[in-house]
Amino acid sequence: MIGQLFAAFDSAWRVLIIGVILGAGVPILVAFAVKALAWGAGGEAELLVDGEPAKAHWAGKTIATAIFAIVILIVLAGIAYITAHGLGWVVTFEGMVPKITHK
Amino acid sequence: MTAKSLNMSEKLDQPRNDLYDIGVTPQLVLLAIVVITALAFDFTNGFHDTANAMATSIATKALTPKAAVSLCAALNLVGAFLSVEVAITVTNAVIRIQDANGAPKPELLADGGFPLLLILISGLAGAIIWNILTWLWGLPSSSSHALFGGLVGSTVMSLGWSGVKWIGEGNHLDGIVGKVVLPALFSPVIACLVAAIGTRLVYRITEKVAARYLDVGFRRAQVGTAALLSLSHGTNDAQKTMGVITLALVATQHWNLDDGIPFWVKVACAFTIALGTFIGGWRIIRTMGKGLVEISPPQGFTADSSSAAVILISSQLGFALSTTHVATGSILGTGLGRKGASVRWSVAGRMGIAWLITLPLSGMVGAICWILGHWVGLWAGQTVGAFAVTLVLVLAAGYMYMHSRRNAVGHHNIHDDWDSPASVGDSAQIGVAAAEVVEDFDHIGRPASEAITPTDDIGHPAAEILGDSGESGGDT
Repeated sequence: MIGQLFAAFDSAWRVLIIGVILGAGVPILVAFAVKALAWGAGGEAELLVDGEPAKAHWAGKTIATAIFAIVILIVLAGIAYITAHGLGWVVTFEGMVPKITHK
Repeated sequence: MTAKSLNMSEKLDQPRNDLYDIGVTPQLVLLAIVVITALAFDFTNGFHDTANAMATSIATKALTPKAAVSLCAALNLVGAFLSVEVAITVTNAVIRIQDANGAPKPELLADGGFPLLLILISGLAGAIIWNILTWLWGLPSSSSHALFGGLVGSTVMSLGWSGVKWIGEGNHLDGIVGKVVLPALFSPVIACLVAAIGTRLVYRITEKVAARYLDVGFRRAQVGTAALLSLSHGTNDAQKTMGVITLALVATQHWNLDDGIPFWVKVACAFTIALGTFIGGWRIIRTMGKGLVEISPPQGFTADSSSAAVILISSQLGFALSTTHVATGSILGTGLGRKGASVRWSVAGRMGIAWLITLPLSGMVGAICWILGHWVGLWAGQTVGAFAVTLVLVLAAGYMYMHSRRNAVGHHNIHDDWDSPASVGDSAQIGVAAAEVVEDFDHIGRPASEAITPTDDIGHPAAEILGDSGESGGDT
């Protein structure tokens, strides 16, 4: 029983740490992208500061697009991971670099 | 061989009708019953779990209800076909009817494999009945726990308590403790924490952004994570049924263990789970999308993203968990993470209770089905025994389905206000159904005094029916 509990805790904290990085990290990226979009659009996209409508900024849209591209890449990586697993490949991570080998 | 089984073999050997002459043996009929029951389970697995991937997207209107179930079904289908390397050792997590390679235990192969087939039929029947019952109640519960529970119940009856793998050895997470109980305790908490942290930070970052911008951006992003969750479900869950059907084929010597999964089994399971997903368990989608937390697009995306991350990381680490528990934990987390948002704790409590009793109750149904099949089998022949179990299953499913028609929930009323007494698919009416099936169910999970919002909407009318309106004091 103690062994099982220990093993479960051992997995759980890893899932929690990486889960926060990825699971909370991606929404945070999207939040920054949305913020950049609003900043770029100006006007009513941002809540009024001192009653003055915000100015538009040309860089906003570019930054937002770049962040959205990263988010799309992460989702695609997730899909690739699921597909590789289904097809019987094993993905291991040495450091940060994924290594794919056949079972 | 005991006298009883000798007697059964004699019955088996007697050619009884013309069908027998053209090759339709009782054994083949039994096998067909197993396959059909397994596919029926696969179907319930599909509609029970649509909510895990799509409840939040439907709630935030990132996708229309029909688009959501269509996308989810398509990706489940793709996912099911993607699983090339399917293990047929699926039962080994909790029971001992196969060896490490997947070969069925020899003692279960007497009488043409009837003992093993009966364990499978009864276990599947227990899982299906539990899945339909929790759907009627609008409660998300884990289909894999239901399957494990049903199989544990029928195995205990067949092999005794020693036929069950209660706990893994040493540090290897296995058995009911390692593969069911501990993950069920840990995974919702982890998902809840991840989603709560994400939600809190997302709202802090976007404090000054107008709501319209926030909603549009997160709605678009959510389609991606919903797709990820659907695909992942397809690769995982269809496998279980494929494994069970192939085990039955091996046990009746219609298939060779080393040849993997027959292609027709893969096709049948893939299409069945996709069909189930497409039908959509609207009652469960409504509870998860509307009942637990009122979900905004940023919360919806954060919930999905947390679920996907927790599921994928756990699968990488070999930590078995239930998608249902993770998805529910994430939704709860987004409610806790957003300032001012409220969680309907009575609904969450009801879900928690459903999770606790999933394994024991589906086990009990599995055990009862086994007893029925066994005794009818001894008295009237194996095939009749299996038919008896199937008949009970069909009657129970039919009764519950008829019951559900009284307050149908579908894409037409999925967005109705949770607290509104006027809506057709009202949660309160789901509560009525629950109260009639298990009379005191509404008393268990209703800490009305602790809840942040008025939470007795589900239990309130139920309590009236039971003549117990005094304490509910609902304002609906």
